[in-house]
Amino acid sequence: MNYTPVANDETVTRSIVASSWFAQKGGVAYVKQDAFVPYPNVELSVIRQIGLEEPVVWRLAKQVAELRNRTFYGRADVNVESFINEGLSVSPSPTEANPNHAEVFKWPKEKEAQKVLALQIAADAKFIIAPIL
Amino acid sequence: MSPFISTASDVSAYVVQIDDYSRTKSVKDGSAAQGENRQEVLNRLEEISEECSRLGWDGDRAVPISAPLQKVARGLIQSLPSNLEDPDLGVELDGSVTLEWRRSQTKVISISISPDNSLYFAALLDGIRKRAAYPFQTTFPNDLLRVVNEVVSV
Repeated sequence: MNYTPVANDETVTRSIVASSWFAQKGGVAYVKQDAFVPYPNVELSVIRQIGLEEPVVWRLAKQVAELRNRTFYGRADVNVESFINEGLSVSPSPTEANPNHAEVFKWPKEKEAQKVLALQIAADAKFIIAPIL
Repeated sequence: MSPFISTASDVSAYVVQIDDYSRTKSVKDGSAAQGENRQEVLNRLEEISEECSRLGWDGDRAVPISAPLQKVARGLIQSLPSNLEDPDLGVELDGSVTLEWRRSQTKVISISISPDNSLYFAALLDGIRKRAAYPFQTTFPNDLLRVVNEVVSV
């Protein structure tokens, strides 16, 4: 279980489990804000990449979809600093299935305020479409 | 080079090659033509409503897109000015349908048609942020459409 505090220079991953959470334009695929608006709690689940090899990051991201019987489309990687810059916090929240699980919290309660932060975070994120694992 | 083995060392550049994009389902290019009867958008609404039709569609506690909300979204999409390009549709965990217009990662607007009978929007306009909430209406408020036009105008 990884309870070490999350550093600003870490990268975290959001698993993309809906086909409408990403799109493409001009030959470039990108993640949309829809993937980052939290509900029902004002928390957002992510995977910490620290200490993980690339294949393990993929496996954990895919596991999010598999455990939930969802199609796995890819992952959105975000620097923790992107969340911090928006006044959010990221804390470790390890689980049995994912020792590197973390939560993004301190989201504003107003949905339109959440959306504007999610737009910026999506803009900062790197979307990587899933390989055949 | 495969995009799948790239490291996350540079997350400011969110470029990915789309060589294998075609194996994902039903994703149309966001550079949509101007809508006439919006049939493609309405078809996409059907698709995402089906994809997100069950409680917990994210495997957790996500709310499905309800039939009444789907009907409202359909009406609002059809009310869009005919000379406005098609939006890219999405869904949020609370069961909202979203409409997005995007010129770049810093010039983008997202409107949520929410199950709580509200419209929520947020926009990035090259350094300026805008956001607001509106009660449901049968058409989009004019000031909201003005922001959409700010985004899509060159």
